[in-house]
Amino acid sequence: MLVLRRRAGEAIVIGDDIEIEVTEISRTRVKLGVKAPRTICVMRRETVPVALDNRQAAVILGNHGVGEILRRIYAGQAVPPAKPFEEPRHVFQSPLKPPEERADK
Amino acid sequence: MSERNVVRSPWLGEIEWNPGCELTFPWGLPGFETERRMIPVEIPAQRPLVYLQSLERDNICFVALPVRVIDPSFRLCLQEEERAALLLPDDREPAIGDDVLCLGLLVPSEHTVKVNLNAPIVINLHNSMGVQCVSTGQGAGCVRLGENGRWEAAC
Repeated sequence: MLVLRRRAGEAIVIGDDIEIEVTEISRTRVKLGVKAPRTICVMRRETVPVALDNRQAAVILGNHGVGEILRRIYAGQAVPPAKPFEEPRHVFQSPLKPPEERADK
Repeated sequence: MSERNVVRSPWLGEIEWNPGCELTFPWGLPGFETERRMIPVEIPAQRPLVYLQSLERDNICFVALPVRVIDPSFRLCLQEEERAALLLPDDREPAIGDDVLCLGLLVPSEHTVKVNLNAPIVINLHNSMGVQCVSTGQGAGCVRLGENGRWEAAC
């Protein structure tokens, strides 16, 4: 591994079009600014396995459906709902408003 | 005559939505950085499941559960950048359910599903901004849905 010492405001370049600048150094953290083409994916290392999981999560409906998931979820509840599973004929949007805003609608 | 906003999901069918329901993910999601606009869909018979249907690509639809359905003691841990992206105030912790919605994405895992509670989708209920918040630390970890409906540690 190449190890370089840099101060705040200094930068390194990778190839022709990627630049990483140390913008701020605090007691426990370093803040980095990255300039890179939009085609280059830049992410924190801990995000990489999440990206892999997300790619699987996006195809869950194509490969599995939700019937078995719901059966298991309801199996863990004290009182299962009357209708454990229905095919999605009617789709409802959730406005996802905070409860106090939802109340006056 | 106003134009209808319709997304045709191969899984959920045709969904007509109004702009007030749209969620904005300024960073997309890891692995889906261009997926910045989504709508949440709830089907009453399938509660507590929440679908996150992309408005960028019809065939991208995530399935999620509110994290407190999985772990009632779940505590949210936000980094400075995530808080800024969600436009949350610095002076207090957001309350789950009142200020933010926290969803765990269901990931296929053998014959069941798992959820990474260290990577919840956090949606600011006041402005509909969303971010998938990935934490490094020793948080709640991954859990897998067992045959009996219990969530078991998976990693």
